[in-house]
Amino acid sequence: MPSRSDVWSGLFWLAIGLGVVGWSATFPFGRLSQPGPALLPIVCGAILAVLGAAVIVSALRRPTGAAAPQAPGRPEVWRILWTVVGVAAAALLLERVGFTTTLFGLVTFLLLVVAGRSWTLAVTYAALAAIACVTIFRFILGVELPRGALGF
Amino acid sequence: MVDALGLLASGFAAALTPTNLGYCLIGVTTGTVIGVLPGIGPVTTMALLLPATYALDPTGAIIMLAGIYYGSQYGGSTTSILVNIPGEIGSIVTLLDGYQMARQGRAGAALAIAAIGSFIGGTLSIVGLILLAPTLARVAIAFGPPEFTGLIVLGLLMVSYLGGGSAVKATIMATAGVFVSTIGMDPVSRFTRFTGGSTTLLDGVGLVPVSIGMFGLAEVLANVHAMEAGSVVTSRITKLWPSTAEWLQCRWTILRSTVLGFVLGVLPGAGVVLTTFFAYVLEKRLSKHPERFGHGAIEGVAAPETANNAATAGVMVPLLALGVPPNLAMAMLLGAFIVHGIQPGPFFFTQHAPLFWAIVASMFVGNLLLLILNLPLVGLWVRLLRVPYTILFPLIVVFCFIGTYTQSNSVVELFIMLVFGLFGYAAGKLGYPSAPFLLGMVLGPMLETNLRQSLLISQGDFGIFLAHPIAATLLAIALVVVVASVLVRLRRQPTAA
Repeated sequence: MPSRSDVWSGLFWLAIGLGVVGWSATFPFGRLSQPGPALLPIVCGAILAVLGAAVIVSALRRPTGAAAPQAPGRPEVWRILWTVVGVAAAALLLERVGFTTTLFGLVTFLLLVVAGRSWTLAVTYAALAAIACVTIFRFILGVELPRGALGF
Repeated sequence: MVDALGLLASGFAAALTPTNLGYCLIGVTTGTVIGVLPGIGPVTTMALLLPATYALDPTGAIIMLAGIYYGSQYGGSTTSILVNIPGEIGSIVTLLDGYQMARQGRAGAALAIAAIGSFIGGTLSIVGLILLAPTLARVAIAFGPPEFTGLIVLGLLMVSYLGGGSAVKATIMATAGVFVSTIGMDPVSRFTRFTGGSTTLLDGVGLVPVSIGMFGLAEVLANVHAMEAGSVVTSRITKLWPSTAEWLQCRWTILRSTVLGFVLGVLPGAGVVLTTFFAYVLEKRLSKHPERFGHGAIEGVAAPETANNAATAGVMVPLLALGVPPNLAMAMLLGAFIVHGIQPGPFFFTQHAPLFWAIVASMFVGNLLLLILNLPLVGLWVRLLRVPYTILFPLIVVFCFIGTYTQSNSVVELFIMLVFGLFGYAAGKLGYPSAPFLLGMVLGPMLETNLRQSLLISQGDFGIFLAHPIAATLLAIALVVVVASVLVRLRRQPTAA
């Protein structure tokens, strides 16, 4: 049985490579004496397509029983999803509610939802983390960070 | 020689005045902190502090700014080793083995060897600077676009074929990295590529969000199982210092990496990343047990950390001897020189001898200060790893978040970090190494510029790469690397019955 993950990843790179070649073909190629912006992307796309095909062929030729990567279990998948949701939400809210509030909210969310810790620990830790980060970045390093409606 | 020693002595006299010692301490401490924090690099810090140096005398200003630069190379290894996030671009390679050492309970040994290797590399390379600066500057001039094209192709192939694991998958990642580096405005023709009409992507995809995403965030996602395990460190945390055997293992590594780092640092445009990759691959090639690399080999930490600090003296050579800054940080330093009415170049060593020797002496002092600053902190950093992962991981995510945002104050970069975090996670699961991708991104613009310049010079004739001996040699070595690796792999495959 060929490694399905390798077949799929090979198909991914083959598709990406062909797509890059196709898109790059619309850029000016120039002349060899004065190469245009299409040169390097076309070369990269061609290499990706060829090597993607090589991965597929190699996977199909591999002997049966070859080790396949372990898929994450259900709890892990949910933790990953919630981490991604948390970071994305924080990114969207950052310039609206301000750096300090966003940081506090992100840490609280991660500890409560992803790590499954208690409210007391989450809120305390989040407050300390937000204060420490603001102190280091805003006051010590002088980095300008977004302030929300409340001014912090 | 006697003259040089006398001049060096006067340099130390200048560097060890309380004022200049103070500037050195401020510089190296700031540099170390900057190095630890991903997203804020030495170039930004030097740019922010440059106006503050207008009021200082030239010696103090240059000592402080130089201290920020080489101090950041020390600090970058800390987060690479502890949490798999490269603090600085020169510490990307360190995490390949440094983080694995931390997971095995050997974070102390990794941090210690990084600090000591950095000290030795930084100190010995200063000797190289003293002895060889004018000579090496002439060699650096011999490197033109064909030579750099050859060097970059060799670097990309070496990391793909000698890095271990699937060479095909590593080459795919390196190529993908080069492709991603082409997104945005073409540096030569200003033509926009692959932006889909987005103004944000006009400047291309940033290296910081990609590196933080693919290494920091991806590692957090890969470690979610550690919520139950309690800690990412699966082994007992052992002694804080490398063992005698480990010291002996690293002695030649440190010496070789010092020489390699210094020599490559001299080449304008070669870059710290290339230097650290070459040092790593060389040590892996020379090792009697190369299979250990990538799984916690202490030489895998010693080599890149020594090389990146050795390169900090090497990069001074083209700046001081030719007045040509080989990277952005040296461009900042050049700015400081010009503000004070000093022009580095061929006459710098004679017309500004006291300044040159004071800078050299301060680099010796600075490296010693960094060792004194960093070694006692090893125990403190290692204690962080005892903290349960459920407590540590939000801090790492925040680190990634802040490091990405503070670099350019762009929310879009946060989403780029997220996308590449997921990409890095998936790549890791499927056996695609992330390091070649980052190398491809860093070297892609240099490869394209030098390749196109070479073809411009030769009027489209690819024979230029054979006509230039250095370029031809580098490409021949690249071909040998590929062919030899393929033959070795074919020989290893079981023959059909």
